[in-house]
Amino acid sequence: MVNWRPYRTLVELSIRQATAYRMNYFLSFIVAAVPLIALLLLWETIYGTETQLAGFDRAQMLTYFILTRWLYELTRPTIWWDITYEVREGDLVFHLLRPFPYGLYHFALIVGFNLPYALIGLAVVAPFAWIVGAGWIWPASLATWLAFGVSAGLAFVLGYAFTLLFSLSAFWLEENSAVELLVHYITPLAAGALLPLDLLPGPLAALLARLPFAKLLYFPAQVYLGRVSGTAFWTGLAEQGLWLLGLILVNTWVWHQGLRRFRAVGG
Amino acid sequence: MRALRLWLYWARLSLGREALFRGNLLLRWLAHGLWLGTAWLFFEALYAHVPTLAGWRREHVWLLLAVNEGSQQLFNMFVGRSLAELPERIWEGQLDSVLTKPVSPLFILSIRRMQLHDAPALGLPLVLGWIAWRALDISLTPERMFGFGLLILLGMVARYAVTLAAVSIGFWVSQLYALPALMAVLFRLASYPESIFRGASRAIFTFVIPVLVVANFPVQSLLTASFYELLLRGLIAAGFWLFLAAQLWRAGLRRYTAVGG
Repeated sequence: MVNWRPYRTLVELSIRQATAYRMNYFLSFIVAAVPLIALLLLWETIYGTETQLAGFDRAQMLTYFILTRWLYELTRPTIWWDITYEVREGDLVFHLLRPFPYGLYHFALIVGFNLPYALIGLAVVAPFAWIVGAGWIWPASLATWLAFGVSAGLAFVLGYAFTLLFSLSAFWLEENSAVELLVHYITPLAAGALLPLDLLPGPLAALLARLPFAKLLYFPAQVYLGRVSGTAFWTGLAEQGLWLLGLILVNTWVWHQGLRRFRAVGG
Repeated sequence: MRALRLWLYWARLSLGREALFRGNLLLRWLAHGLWLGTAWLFFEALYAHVPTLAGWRREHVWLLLAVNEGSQQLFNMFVGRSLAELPERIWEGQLDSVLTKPVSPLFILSIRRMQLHDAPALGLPLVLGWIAWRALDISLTPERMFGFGLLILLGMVARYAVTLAAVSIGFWVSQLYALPALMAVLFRLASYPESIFRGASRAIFTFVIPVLVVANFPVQSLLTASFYELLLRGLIAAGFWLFLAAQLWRAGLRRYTAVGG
């Protein structure tokens, strides 16, 4: 029987920590909103002359971008600097003495960090949705809402699995800021935040659709828009689950390999 | 002379420090290449579906991407990282040692984390710019070259001023970790053609947040003959921000109290 109480406390602690510096919080919403302004201007320009692009009409495209922008802030893989710091400075040793898995400890912190962000982030998204107006697309049925919820939830966990993997690179790299840059630059394209994969050249789109990054944004957004349903939905969900399982296995292996290299020499 | 000696000292220090992390350095160059690659791919994917973007052909956008990425790289190589770290130095009370030195504190704080090792990453924007220039068949007269260089410089000044004004907020508000990300997303807008910004948004992104000054103005000086109009708009925007940044910086320094030990 898993004791969830420590995790709940960690989530609460992280929420308090994340919301303590309100100005920083406010700024991070502007960070999320600024790219949307440019994208909306760009797509309004394009749809001034076109009616459809790769099967997306104006409403679908704008809904796609606003939705993926919100999801991106929640699911995007990054370097979780707390992990890097603990590995590098030797503080990891304290965690090794604690009676719960290190990965779950940081997962609880990230959940706490992202929960208020997800809710208040909706307030950032709302004005943009209002600009789209009557064309804004809502899921067609309760089943689509549910399907979107499940795929977005899995995407969140998958995003964390990537974050953990990239952060554990600190066992091998003394300086891993470049890893963050790489992730930061590749993810928007591979996950479909830059463009829906349908707009990319055929072979590249087919390749990216098979990779796990597409399951972070592109797949949940397709589910929301009703462009994926029935067998395609179940296949996509199974792929999402398999990638997650694969990453958990890789992370476990990397964690054990990293621990073999880890030396705490602090006093 | 003293400033030049200091600059050379910090430049050597920066190169020496990064040489210690060679693996990270190679990954950084790769990341910069990937960034330009994804931005290029983004526009190529759009141009596969539309012939022009509000009057801009794909070669125009190549030039815009090259200029924006090049100026971003130059900015980061010389002052970007130092300015990004400034708020943390303020919160941790680390300015004391700089303020007691007989040199402008802003000068030292702007150059102490140069990233000259990223210079090879300038190669890709240069290649892309050269390809665009060949494709557009732009004749490079001395006047045009001078105008282009001047507007690039003006764009760098605008970028510096906006960033300095933003990081100076660190004197009043602590833990602004989202600030560097905000600067990054703002100046990424400079890669979009000016013509997509219509009505109020064009004025906002020229004067209120001068992102169009950074890359659009130099590129337009090569493509059109409206150099003096661009120069005037750029001077107003950059001048305003430079004034604002200087005021914020001075007011911030007056407010600064070190609590470090």
